Amino acid sequence: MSSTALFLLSALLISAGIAGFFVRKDLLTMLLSGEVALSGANLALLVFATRSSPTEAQAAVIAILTVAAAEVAVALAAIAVAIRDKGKATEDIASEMKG
Amino acid sequence: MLDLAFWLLFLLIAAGLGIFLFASEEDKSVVSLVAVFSALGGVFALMGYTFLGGIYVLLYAGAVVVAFLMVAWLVSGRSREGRSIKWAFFLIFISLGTELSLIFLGSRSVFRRVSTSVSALGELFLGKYLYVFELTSLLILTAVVSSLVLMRRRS
Repeated sequence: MSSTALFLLSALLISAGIAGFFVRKDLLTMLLSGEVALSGANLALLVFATRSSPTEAQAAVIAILTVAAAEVAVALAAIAVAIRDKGKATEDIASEMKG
Repeated sequence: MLDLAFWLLFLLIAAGLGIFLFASEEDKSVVSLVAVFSALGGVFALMGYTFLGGIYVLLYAGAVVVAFLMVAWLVSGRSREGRSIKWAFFLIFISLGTELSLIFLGSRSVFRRVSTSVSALGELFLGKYLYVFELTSLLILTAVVSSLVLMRRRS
């Protein structure tokens, strides 16, 4: 398992995340696509930092995970509200959700 | 052996992402991501970041994606019965099986200099990055309060 293979996996995750964000129409999978891309970025960060400061990279990834989990909590609440009010959660609903 | 495990996990991630992108139903997409994040946890463990791999399986595959799955079922408004998500579950079983076999075979770090000490991580969070740690807890509190406010709001 070389660094190249790990970067390839990271690129796969980031590309799939970006593709999912633009291909899928429902808010739920669009949000999950962001999480997938973020995981790819985390993997790249770990591979870059392995030689120099692995513990600090691990701390950074845990902080990123925590922020992502907080984002998920708010976004899921917003999606649940959209479903309750509009009956669906698609990308055209998102533009109607401005405060 | 480690190479074989890595490429198996790579294939699982690629298959899971394929299902995620091209599945017609939302819940199939979401369940396939359990396999993706479990396999990614396995990759982290192979790199030597065993604690982070565990966090990924527990937090992402176990909590975040399951919360998404509950909302996906809420969106579709149908019951669990009769859903054909067996391929996604098959992927999950293989990825968890690969990780368990890695544990039984004894996980060896590929990058030998990787420190997997949780105490070093704790010292970092409660020392050098204390403000980041406190800010993160403040952010979580804000997220919890704002999601409660959002859910209580009447249309």
